[in-house]
Amino acid sequence: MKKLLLILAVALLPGCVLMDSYLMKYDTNEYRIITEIRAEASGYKTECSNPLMSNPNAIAMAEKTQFFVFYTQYQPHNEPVQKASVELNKIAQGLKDQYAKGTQVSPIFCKLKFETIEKSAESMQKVIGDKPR
Amino acid sequence: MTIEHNQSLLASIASNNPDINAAAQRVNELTEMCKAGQISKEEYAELILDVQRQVNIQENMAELEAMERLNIAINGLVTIATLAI
Repeated sequence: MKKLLLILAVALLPGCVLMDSYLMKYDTNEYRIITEIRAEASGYKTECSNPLMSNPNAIAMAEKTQFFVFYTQYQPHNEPVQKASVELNKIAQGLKDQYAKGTQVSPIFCKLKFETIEKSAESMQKVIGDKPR
Repeated sequence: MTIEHNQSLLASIASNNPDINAAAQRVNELTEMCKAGQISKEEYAELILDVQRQVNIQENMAELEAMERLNIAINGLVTIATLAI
């Protein structure tokens, strides 16, 4: 009972950040999706010179990062990941849009895009993996 | 306002935050690639936006990292307080 009162006291302290900090939890699915994004970006960047692969890869990555946005969207106490997932999706969407315009997309642009996604996903993976169990 | 002016502005950035220094260096590299014709102007503009997006991701992850430390501290204090009662 005393412990419950203490927990309630902490939860009722002012500021959403404090409450979010206390209530956030490690999520296996969240960690898995960000790992998949990193791994796929790592593989896709090697296929940028192949026009038969690069466009479908760009579409697949945009869809995957969009899925991650949807997954995190309504999770409580998870605002930093929600915001970061939106930014990651914008990076992926920018590559897909470039192919959709029908103009020549340079392989180096494709490679730089996937490298950016890979690095960003890795930095997110590191912090998401450290969430309290 | 010339490209060279903005590049000298980038070169003058010496922040305590390594993410900001890395972003400035990245923008400079992309500018050189665009000048050399390795990427189009449209691609350059998109990649510059990505640098800002990366900074936003880093900021959010720094916030999450701080929240994780706060969580450890709160749980530790709750445990100590519970034992003390």
